[in-house]
Amino acid sequence: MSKYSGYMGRIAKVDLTTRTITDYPWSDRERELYLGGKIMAAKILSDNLTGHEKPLSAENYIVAATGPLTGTGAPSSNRFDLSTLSPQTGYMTSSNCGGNFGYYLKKAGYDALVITGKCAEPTWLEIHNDKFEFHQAADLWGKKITEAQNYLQQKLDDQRGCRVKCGMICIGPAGENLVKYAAVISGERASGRAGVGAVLGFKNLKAVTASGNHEVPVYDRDKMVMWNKKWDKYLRAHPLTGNQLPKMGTAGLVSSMQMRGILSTKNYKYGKYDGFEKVSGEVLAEDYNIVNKGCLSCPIKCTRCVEVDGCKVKGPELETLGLLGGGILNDNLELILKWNKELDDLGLDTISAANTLSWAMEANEKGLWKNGLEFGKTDNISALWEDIALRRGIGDELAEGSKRLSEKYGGKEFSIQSKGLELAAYEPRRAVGQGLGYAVSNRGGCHLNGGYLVILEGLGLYTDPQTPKGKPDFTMIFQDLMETISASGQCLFTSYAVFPGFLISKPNGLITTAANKVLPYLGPAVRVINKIPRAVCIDVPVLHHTNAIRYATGMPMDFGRYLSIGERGYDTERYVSSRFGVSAAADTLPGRLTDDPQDPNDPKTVVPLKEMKPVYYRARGWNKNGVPTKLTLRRLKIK
Amino acid sequence: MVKVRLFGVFRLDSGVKELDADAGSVRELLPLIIRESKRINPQNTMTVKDLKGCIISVNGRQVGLEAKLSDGDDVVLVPAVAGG
Repeated sequence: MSKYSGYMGRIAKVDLTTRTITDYPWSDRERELYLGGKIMAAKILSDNLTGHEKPLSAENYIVAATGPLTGTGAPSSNRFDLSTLSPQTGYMTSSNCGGNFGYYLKKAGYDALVITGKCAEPTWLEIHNDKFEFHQAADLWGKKITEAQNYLQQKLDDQRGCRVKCGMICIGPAGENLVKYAAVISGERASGRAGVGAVLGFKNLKAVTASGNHEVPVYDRDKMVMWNKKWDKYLRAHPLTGNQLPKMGTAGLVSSMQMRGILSTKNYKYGKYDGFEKVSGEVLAEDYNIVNKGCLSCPIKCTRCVEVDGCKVKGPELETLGLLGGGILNDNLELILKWNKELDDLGLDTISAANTLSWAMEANEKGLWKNGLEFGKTDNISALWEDIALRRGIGDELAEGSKRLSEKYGGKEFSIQSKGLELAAYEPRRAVGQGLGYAVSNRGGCHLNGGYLVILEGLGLYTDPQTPKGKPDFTMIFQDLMETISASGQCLFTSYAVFPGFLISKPNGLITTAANKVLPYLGPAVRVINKIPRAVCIDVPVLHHTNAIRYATGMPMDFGRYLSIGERGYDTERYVSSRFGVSAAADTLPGRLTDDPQDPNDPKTVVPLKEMKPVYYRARGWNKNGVPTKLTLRRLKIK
Repeated sequence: MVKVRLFGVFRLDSGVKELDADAGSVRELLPLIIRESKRINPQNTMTVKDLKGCIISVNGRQVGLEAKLSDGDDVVLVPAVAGG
């Protein structure tokens, strides 16, 4: 049990080999230091992984963790996180998900599951309150996500004789066949990145269901309810979370990215796509969107619900639109909708799948690998996704991702990945801070774990996108803030509302213009905050998160504590990955992005990584090899 | 005559996708977009003030409200957005 509310006070360790369930020890001191979610998971992995484990092995751990706000009614707070040693990158990874599993895991009485070992045969695990039951999954193995989830729901309903409210995580054929970028799906949402699905697939664990009737304790319910209402109102009034995202979803970024020249096009060769309008969020909203949907407790409701083959399904996000649109020179939106549904159903990460495809098209074009795939040619793609998931034909090779393929066939300079994880749809040569983030991100080429600096560089604000000035310091503070937001169980979209609404709704206004000019010069000030976050022991009005944690848990919380928990999380992840060899050499980008200007007439349109990386390392207190120094680990109480 | 294209929530809210308009500057252009929006649907409530929240580009270059327009210019209005 815990003295802090917001937590269920229990973590279950599940050994799949011996089928034993034990309580994983977790103290209140650890809750104060590591909060929950991915940061808690990083500490657990740090305590259990030595550096000798393989990602696809019984010895690997996968931690499903919720945050203290999960289930408390705080806006957009019912997320959970899967953390493990990634088969795609070889380093520690975490993948966040908006599905319903986190909420119901807490209803079952647990803050997290620590899973290790390997089932002898295909299995699914049922958790109901404190009861764990292993079921054989021979008849479930091979089923796609929708069918598998329906099957499991029916099983539970039949077993208990009523409609069971439950959450689940589930892998598809891609996870079963150890595709390096296999996802885990919960409802319609994905823990998409870095191959967490393959880890479950190797462990023969097809699915986990969770249900129960525990209540999530809240420290000060009256204040929490009042605060949630206020926060909810703020999010609904903000131009990003109350207007843009509900009306357009993430898909609405396509046209803005096109204008800024940061829409990945033809495997990131260009930053603009002539056919962008046909695959834009506008056309999706006008011609296809049926209704908006959101995750549990979310007022933003960014999900586009569309009709595909007579079924109402989750529509594509920006990444999928961008990468399966301009990325492969495809302007057929209807195809993207179908592919998006198929990729989710097979349990494949749409980002890595799309980028691996565009790499293969370019490799074919350059004569490195004759595979029949061509930019703009779409008639042979639909069948390819299943080939990848089932590892048939060239699908077996594509299942390895673009990094491994480029090591085999050549073409490393246009394998658009970092640490083996393919980049998101933001082409970073015209948003160089975003480029730094992609390179140094613990997760690999992830826009969010990289700090999402593009929000300052053209999407939201518009500071000089080519200057490296101040970018390393902003990258660090954004990474740390987003780390804590994730760890508390919240959606990162709540962080966008941290930018005062008028900066977004008046991009031509005097204050916004001044902010755009001044921001690059604020690097040193941000560095001071990064160095001594605890000095900022105040509540920042636009950061509603700290009050919410205080009211939910009873734990002291202010901006400085919040930020330092994020830094501790980020460095713990790095510390774990350092045991598996992460280094400055891994914090890199393909030559196309660092050496080939996007505009051949403007040499500045590259990512000046060599210039920014050492500054970033120094800001973080990492050595030249990109690893936290002993002093940093001691300062952060990691070691 | 300039060609105007709207994107994002401005397009959804105004109902205007494209417009050929006669305007000497961006500032002159915005009321014409609102007029077209009202013509499409008199219930539309978007105002010139709302449109000032757009990022405006002419022939691919971001400009301010005072920018002059010439015959054949391609004007694009998109919101300043984030959230991927």
